[in-house]
Amino acid sequence: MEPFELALAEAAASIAARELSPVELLESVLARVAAVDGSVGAFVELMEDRARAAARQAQEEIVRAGPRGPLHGVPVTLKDLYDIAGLRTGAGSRARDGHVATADAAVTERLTRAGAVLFGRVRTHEFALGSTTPGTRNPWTLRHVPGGSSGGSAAAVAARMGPVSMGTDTGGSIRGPAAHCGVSGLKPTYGRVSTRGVVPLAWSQDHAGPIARTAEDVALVMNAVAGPDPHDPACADAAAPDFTARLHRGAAGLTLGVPSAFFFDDCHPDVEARVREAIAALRDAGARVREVVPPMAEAIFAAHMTILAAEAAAFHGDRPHRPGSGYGEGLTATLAAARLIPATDYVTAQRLRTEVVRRWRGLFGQVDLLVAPAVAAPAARYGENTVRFPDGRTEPVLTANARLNFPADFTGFPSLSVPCGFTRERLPVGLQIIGPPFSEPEVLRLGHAYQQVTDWARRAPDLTAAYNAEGAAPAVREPG
Amino acid sequence: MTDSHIAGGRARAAASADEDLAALLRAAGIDHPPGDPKPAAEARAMFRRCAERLARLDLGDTPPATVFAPWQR
Repeated sequence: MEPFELALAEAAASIAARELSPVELLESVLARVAAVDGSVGAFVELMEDRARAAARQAQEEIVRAGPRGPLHGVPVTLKDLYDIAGLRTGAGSRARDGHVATADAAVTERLTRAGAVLFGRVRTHEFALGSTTPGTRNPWTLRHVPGGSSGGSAAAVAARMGPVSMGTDTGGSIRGPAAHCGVSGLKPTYGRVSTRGVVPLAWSQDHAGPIARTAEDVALVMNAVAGPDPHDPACADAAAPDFTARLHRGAAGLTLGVPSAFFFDDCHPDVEARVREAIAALRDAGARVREVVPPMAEAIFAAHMTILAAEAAAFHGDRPHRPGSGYGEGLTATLAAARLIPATDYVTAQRLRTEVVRRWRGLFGQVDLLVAPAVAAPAARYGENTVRFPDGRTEPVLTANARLNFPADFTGFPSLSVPCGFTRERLPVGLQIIGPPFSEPEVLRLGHAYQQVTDWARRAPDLTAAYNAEGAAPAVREPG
Repeated sequence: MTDSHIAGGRARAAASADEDLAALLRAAGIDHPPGDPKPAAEARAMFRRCAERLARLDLGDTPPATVFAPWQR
């Protein structure tokens, strides 16, 4: 096995045992990027010089005093929304040309403090408002998108271009790409991870979180990035626990809620089949399973979209509507229409949020965790705006990718997507695990338990075959 | 009424809707509306459907969520 193929926990163990140096690991990952990213298109910028210096420093520190923790000396990428002092945060948009970050984002600071080797920024859908990530291909089949908006993060991790990438999730932007690319992604509880220094999409719904190969790797990253930030008004005061503490407790003893409505409605049949098989595997592993009705789920989309669009329009102001703004046409149109959303609709949507959160808290009085599909359909074809279901029905890519993810963003409850198999077209499917506020250790416990009885998280795309069959990614400069 | 009458009527209605949207956008301070009005009109239609869905809810005296701690209530 080459170093670039190691998951975070494996790389950390090799580094701690002095079997692998941070410099060797970084060089292996950089060579991997050079070999495959011409076709995947995950990277906006490689920071090779900076990363090599950080890897050498980590190596010296580890030789002298041992690793600070599992991220010490491990290459990590950031979605192009996270500030890195002195560099452009592009947010996937030409509108950001000329931008230079004056300070690190909180997550950038914490990863650096943990000894991670930040080596590249990866592609986002323009300003995180979209679910296809133009310019990036799905490593499992280059004919398809990786999902979005953290498509660069998920594609990089799936293609073994770094074991960890930080994404963001406002309407499914971590879990959707994770599901489409066959990797694991956590949207933590709202406020669990600081979003200071992250370009916002919608302040009251934005979440920062990791994408990695396994639930265990996600837990290790959470230990480094979660916790209070006095400089971020949205960050929770709750002290961060050890996110690995409950990983090895297994599925036995947990009661899982399986939605009898909403989450399986209008789902691709292969997605439903894989998710129901995953639930059966968890039952076999000792979990209790019962049907539940997620309260008011059908009303969430309208409220979530209203809040997201209104807050995004407020953030961007009139900048998209100036001549030569650099904003993409689709985003400009959406933000123009969002300017017309009445304030009363926004407030009504936030009122519904109060009621939904109250009722969903009640739901988690009956079950420990909710299990459901992460995304209703597999990854869309590159360049297409709609998803076609086997029964002939079509749906816009944006809603097909996001609608099952909206509830956890809307409530702020934690949600993990883990890979649970493939469709007949060999496209990955994700199992979504939702818990009550601040229950990440339990959510990750179930994800890890599932990954102990299945091998989906260990599967890797055969990029050589994919290249030969499907050719390279477009060479044009897409936004970002 | 012939097909051409119907088509003409639809075209006039669409043009009128475009003008209405352009006027609304100008009133919202957007002096340079998107060149192609169709995507903005589609987005506007989606937001209006969301508004209609929200309007059907009876939320009584429920207050809005705490923006920076939605899970708090």
